[in-house]
Amino acid sequence: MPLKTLLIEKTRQTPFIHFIPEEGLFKIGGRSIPENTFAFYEPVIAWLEDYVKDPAKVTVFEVHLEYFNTSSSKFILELFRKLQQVKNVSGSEFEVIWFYDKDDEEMMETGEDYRDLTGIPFKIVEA
Amino acid sequence: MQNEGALLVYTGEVNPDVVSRLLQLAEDKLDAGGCPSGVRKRVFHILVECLQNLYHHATPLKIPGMDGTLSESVVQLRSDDTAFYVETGNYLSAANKEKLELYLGRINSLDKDQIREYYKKTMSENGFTAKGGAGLGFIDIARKSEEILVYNFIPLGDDVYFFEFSAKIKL
Repeated sequence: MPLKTLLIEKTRQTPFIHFIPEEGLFKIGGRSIPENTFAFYEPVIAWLEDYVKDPAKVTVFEVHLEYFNTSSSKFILELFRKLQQVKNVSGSEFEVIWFYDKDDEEMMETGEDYRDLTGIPFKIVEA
Repeated sequence: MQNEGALLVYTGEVNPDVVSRLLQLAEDKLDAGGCPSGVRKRVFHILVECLQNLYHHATPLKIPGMDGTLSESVVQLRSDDTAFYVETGNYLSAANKEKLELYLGRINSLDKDQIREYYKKTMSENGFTAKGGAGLGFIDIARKSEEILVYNFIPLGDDVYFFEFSAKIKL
């Protein structure tokens, strides 16, 4: 059975997630500051587990985050590491587009940090 | 803890409901104050981490010979002409005081670039703590504050300290 689209609406404490497997398009945005990050991110990572076994030819992960807390930052790294596994399927490509507000230099630096840590092709773009 | 210029003061137990209400109140205050969005974001970030520290780490302390437990924390957001201050207070045991003191001393000894590297290394290499935290809270607070972290441990008895903490965000 093909993997279903994953849609999670944003709340005051958790981000929106729009993952459309047949288009290889993954978007996350808003703020991520829940006390229990595990409860929010574990199901998303489980979903990606299935996706990376049979990914679209090109996978693009768009990150439009406004704020996130430190425990979310570890899970965001996990999302990158998990999606990076699409490269295990031959011919698959993966890129991240990291958006930041022009007055938010720290969000730009955070994008650079993730790029350094993962080695994934990262476009860092002013929103 | 001085409270002149206080925008928000809370004393009591910190649970998820309290965290989300205080964040909402703080956002309303910061929006109404018309401060620059960069400062507003940094203040908000630091408040999130401070509240989540209290929620995850301020464990009730049982005092021998005393009824009940010490579980109240204090949180304050205040400002003066030059800066915002996010300030907290909570009880902790002597063992936790030793650990925290070493950790905060280490963070204060690092410059801006070293803090950024320390954050990356901790995020990438360490697992989650027993309390479900990432072990990154104070490192992130120091990074966003760009000032020395101010703290004090007040001895209250054999095995009890009151930990006062202040993070400054310059305007």
